[in-house]
Amino acid sequence: MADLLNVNPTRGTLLRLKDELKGVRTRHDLLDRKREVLIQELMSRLEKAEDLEQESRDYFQAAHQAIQKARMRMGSDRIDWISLSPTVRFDVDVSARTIMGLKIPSVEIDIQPSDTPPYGVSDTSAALDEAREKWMDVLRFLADASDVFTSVWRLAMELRKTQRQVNALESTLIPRYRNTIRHIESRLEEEEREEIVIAKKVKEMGESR
Amino acid sequence: MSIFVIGDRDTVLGFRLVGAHGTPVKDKEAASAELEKALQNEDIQLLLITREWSDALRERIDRLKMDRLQPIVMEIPGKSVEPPERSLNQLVRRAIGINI
Repeated sequence: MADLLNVNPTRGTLLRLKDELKGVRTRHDLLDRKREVLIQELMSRLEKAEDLEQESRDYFQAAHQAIQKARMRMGSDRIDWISLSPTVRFDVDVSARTIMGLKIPSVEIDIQPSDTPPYGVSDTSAALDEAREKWMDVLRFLADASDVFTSVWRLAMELRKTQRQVNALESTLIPRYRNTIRHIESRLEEEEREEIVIAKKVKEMGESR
Repeated sequence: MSIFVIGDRDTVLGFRLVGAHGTPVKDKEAASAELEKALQNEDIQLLLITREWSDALRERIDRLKMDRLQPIVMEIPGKSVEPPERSLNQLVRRAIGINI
């Protein structure tokens, strides 16, 4: 037995189901359109995201090597103390636009390095300068990567959700409506035929009398 | 508007050098507590968490990445720069894959 909606097979139900199926189809079309837009947006960012993901490892690896070296030369406490008066100032600005109801961020990190290190020259070491330079690179990298990664993540998640909804409509709800409508139509036709037969019989009985 | 880092000692130290703030954490509970505290801070625009701890707090992190823009939550490689558990490529392929 095909998967049917649990309804009474009447003419009224038939009309109502046909109407509802129209609504379901519209919802399906909208979701399908949304799916297409999400794929487009995703694809347009994917290559950049993959490049950035590759770069990410290099930047962080270099930065970690540099900080380990600096820490070994100077000790964590000293670096911590120096970092209390940072040599860079930056400002993070996040804005968002909406794609198909999904908020997609755009991140700007405005980095302003100050010319003179605030700590005394005797405190500096090549290792520390190197570490600072490498972590600056990380910071610049994040300015590029944070919104791309976040956008791709969100688009992919939303796409998965939308895809599931489209699938559910296509594989379950729409066939269920169609089967039920077909079922009711054949039931109604059958009833109609029976009524004709009965009417004929009644008529015959009337004539033979 | 600032950047806040939750991670290992070296990661936090590195970011501090360039003016970001952060707290090094050593266990999941501390990471979770720092995360919730940072989320309350309206000055933080970008919240970075090393993969070691984002993996430990996976469900919460995934929700935040989806729902929050203030701050933006981002996973970064930690001291032992390991490849991400789920690369963007895999993620996207899985998202689109259902259709192909």
